[in-house]
Amino acid sequence: MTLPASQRDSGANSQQAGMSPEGAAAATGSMAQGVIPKELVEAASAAGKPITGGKEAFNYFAQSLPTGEHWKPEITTFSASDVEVLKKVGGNLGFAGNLVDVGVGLYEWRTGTPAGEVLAKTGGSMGGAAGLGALGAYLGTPGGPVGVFAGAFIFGTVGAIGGEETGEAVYKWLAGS
Amino acid sequence: MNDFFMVTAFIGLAAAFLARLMNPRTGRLVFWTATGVTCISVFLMAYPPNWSSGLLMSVGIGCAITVAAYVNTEFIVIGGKTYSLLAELSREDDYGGGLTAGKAWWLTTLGVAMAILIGVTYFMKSSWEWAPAAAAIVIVLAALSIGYRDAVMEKPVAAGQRLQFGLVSVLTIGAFTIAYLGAYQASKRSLVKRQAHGRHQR
Repeated sequence: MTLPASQRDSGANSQQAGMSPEGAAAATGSMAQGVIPKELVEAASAAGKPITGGKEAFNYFAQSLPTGEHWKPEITTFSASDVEVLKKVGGNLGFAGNLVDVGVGLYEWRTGTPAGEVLAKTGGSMGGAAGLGALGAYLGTPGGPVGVFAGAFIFGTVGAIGGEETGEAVYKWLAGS
Repeated sequence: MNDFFMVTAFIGLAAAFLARLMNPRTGRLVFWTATGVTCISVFLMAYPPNWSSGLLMSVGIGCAITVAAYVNTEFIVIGGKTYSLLAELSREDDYGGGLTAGKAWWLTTLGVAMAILIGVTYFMKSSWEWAPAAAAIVIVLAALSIGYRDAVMEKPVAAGQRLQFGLVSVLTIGAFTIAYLGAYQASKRSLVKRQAHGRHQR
């Protein structure tokens, strides 16, 4: 398919690392008008929750693994570097989940949601994931490291979703709408 | 709103994440630069003309990124001291989960508060009448688990974290306290009995 020269140029521009200001503005402008489907943003928002929950899972799982020789010899122990790797995965997941949440919030703000509501939702989601992730890890403790992983994952995710709803409800209640 | 600055804000967010994959020294510099770029970009998205919304969103996002960094990274260094939720611990300080007792109890307090808030929200919003009951069950089971753990680790009640323990007690109208102390005392008694019989079991 042959494109008019002007379109071909703008296409080439946006593929390079440095987007022109006009091109960038056009891209986000069309995003705001719904050319980037709303579903995509919702999917990113939905993906952020289990990502954050997974972070809680990896961190608590890593810490609950038996390491060192104070354990009975017949139990398989994990080296300190195994635990480090798991914690690293957890940290990456958590950081990514949080920043995706911030990005989704930024987009919602751009498309008309009040700043206070966006911040209440983001804060509620982060607080819910961290708090319920910790409670979930305690709930899973009787099940050993796997129980800790499952507990932190499930409750971290529930906390992220429920916390966002709660933040929104609290904001709407305070704003009186 | 200015969409050019929306793009720079997103580039800042992406760079803040990539900083975690770099070596700590470079990463820290990249992270704080990226966070600064994001916050300034967010302000300039709304201003001109709306400086108040821009400022609120800019400060709010700055706080959110900083909290995310505290929880997930070791980028926050002030006066040579690293502030991080999961900072390196000596074995004596480790209260489980790689946390100090103080941090673990603050997280528990946060969890209890969020569980109650979420329970109430779903009750009011979607009239799901079991939501508060579910929250209560989660809180009580967590209290039992923590009480057992403290007894096994031979820690004092609430590992000496009185402020958090008091807050949780008030929030749950005593339910957490009763469950916690019940599990703590019962586990302690059974441990003493077991030791009296000369059996060492895990």
